[in-house]
Formats: sequence, C-alpha cells, structure tokens
Amino acid sequence: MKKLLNNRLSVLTAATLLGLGTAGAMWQGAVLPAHAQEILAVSRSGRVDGKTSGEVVLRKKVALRLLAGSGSMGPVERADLVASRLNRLDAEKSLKASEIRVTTQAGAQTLVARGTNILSVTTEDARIAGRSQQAVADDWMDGILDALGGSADSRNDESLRGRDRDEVKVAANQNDRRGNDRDRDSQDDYYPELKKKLVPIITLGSSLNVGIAQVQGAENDVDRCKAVAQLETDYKDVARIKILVPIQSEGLVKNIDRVPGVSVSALADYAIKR
Amino acid sequence: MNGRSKNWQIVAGAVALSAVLGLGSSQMAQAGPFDGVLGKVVKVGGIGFLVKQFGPEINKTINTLLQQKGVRYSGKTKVVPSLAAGSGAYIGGAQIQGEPEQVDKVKYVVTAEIPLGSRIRGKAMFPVNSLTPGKATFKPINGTGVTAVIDFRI
Repeated sequence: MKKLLNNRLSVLTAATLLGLGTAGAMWQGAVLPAHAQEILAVSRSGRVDGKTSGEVVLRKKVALRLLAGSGSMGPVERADLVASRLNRLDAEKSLKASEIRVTTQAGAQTLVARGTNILSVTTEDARIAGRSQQAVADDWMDGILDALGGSADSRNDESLRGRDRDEVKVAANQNDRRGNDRDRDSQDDYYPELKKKLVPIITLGSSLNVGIAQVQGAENDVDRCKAVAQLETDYKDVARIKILVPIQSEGLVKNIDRVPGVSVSALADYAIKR
Repeated sequence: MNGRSKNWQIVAGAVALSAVLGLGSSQMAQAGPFDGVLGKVVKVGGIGFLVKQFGPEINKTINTLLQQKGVRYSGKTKVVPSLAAGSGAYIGGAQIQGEPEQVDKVKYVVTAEIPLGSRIRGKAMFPVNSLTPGKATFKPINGTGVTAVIDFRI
C-alpha cells in the first residue's frame, strides 16, 4: 500500500513538473502553437557576379533576389525588412498568394499585401536588372506567388492590377492634398524606403546654437523637412534634456510644424550665445 | 511570486532614484557618496535600470508633453537607455522613433560627442541592438532615429 502511494506520488510529482515546465516554456516562447512556429519568410545574403545580394526565401524557395540597396539600407538589410513585413502579415493571418498586388505609389512600383507595402522598386533595381520598374515588380511578384503557390490566374490578371494602380494613385493624390494633416497612426503599414539629407538646425533654450543636422526618413517626408529645431535645457551641469523636432516650415517663430517620420541622426553646431 | 518580484522592482527603483537624487545634491555640495567609482557604478546601473523599467511610462510622459506643444511624433516611439561620451560621459534615456519592426530591435542609443573648442560641437547618435560591439549580433539599427534625450552626467 505504501509502495503504491509512493508510486502515485512520484507520478503526480512528475506530471506536475512536466506541466509546470511546459507552461514555463510556453510563457518564455520556447513552445508555441504549430502555426506560430512556422516562419513564412527568411532573409539571407547571397552572391551574384561577386556582389552581395539579399535574398528572401519563402517556404524554402528564393522568392526575391535584391541586388540594390535603398537609402541607407544594403540589399541584405532590405531583404531582412521584406521578410519581417511578410512574417508580420502572416502572423496576423495566414498570407495567401491572392493577397499580393503590384501598385503604383508615389510614382514607384510597389508590392502590396492587405494595404501594407512590402517592397518598392527603385530606379537602381531597374537599372541593374536592365528592365523597366514595372517589369521588375512583376518579376518579384511572380517569385513571391511561385513560392506561395499562387495561381497563374492571379498572376496574369492585368486588368485587376491596372485597377489597383488607379485606386492607389487616387489615394496618393488625396494624401498629398491633405498635406500636413496626414494621420500616420492610420497608416501603420506605410514603410517607405529611407533617405538622408543635411538641413540647418537651430537650438533654443539654455543656449542659442546654429548648425547643420543630418535627418533621415521616408523620401517624401525628408524632402519636406526644411530644418530641425532643438529645444535644449540643462540643470547645473548634471542633467540635460533635448528634444529634436524636424520641421517643414522655416517660419520657426510663428509655427513649429513637425514632419512626421523624420528623425535626426547627427548634428554639428556653433554656440552663438551661451 | 509576481507581486513579490514587483515589490522588489519598486524598491530597487526607489534605491536607484535615491542614488540619482543623491548625485544631484552631492554635485551641489561638491562631495558625496556617489562621486567615487562605486558611486558612479551605482549611478550608471541605477539610471539604466530605471530607464529600462519605466521606459513605457517615460515615453508616454514625453509624448504627452510634446502633444501639448503640438510637436508629437505620431508613429511608434520607445524609450531606451542612452550613453553619451565625448564631452563628458552621460547616461540617461533616449526616445527613439521609426518603423515599428526596427524600433522593436533597438535596445540602446549610443551618442558620440565631439567638442571642438568651447563653442563648436558635433554629435552622432546610433540606435543599436546591443552594447557589445564584438558580439555577432551587434549592429546599428537603420530606419530609427532619436527624438528626445534626457541624460545625467556620470
């Protein structure tokens, strides 16, 4: 009887430990549901004609091969970004081939799924491929569709693509008209390629400085950025507070109009008044 | 267990905050327990801990203040520990912004400051995913930038 009780206690203890272990592992993310464990896209680097390329692998098939970088990103980082976007979409809900579209956004051919930008064709992509931007976008789309098991119907439905392009053009024009009122919160899926430029910076607060700052962000946002305003204050040489605001109007005194999506990466300035 | 751990975190936060405040008063008095090497270690650890622990709250406060001034960034932002070196050494918190998936990767902001004389200064800010440059995973995170910095002299 005692032996039986001991055996049962051992089994109970083992079961409890196993349960706790499993729960702990699931909490730590080590054991996830089958769907969550499957990663749709993986990025990796490759070599084409002795040059580094970025590859996006979908279900063990190379869907995209990027030879050009964009903004401050190299081809591998670009592939990394594409893979993360595809995985994010797939994590929300299983991504289907029929959801991928080629659209025109701000004059660039762009692969889009569920309203989220996946990748835009740059002029450098087209130049390296020796083809038009539209042809490159179609090639990329074909690669993704092949990997995802998309049908030829969805690939060749030119009328559908044309309609999508027109719709996006109208939407883009509307956004341009909205100008400063564009609500970026409602466009979480808008991830344009990066660009950097130098603009004047003026520092107000504990000192008055002027100089030059490097700003980075989406191409159309960076183009709108005219200057950077830095609000700076300090406390007895112990603490410093700095707020960097890229602005789109040079009339700083009248109105500070922030450019969304632009940030400062470096600056150099001269103290006029201390 | 969680409640107990939370209490410990609050206590540790309070100690770290005391260290920071103590530092301020010690600077004013030109001497104090945090002026030594150990004090500086406590200060760096304490402020780093505070920023990591209360980053979301600090982020929300900064966003609220910027909102009141009408210059809030409307995308994803996050507060991470920041280290600055060049014209003195500073530790604190930096608010970063950028593409959501890139912002998630940022763990620290490293700032290199170059003072050229008393009036000219240069500065470069690098959001990074680790503080160990030799580590294989260490890399600056592109697509992110700094919008605000609050830091303290070490």
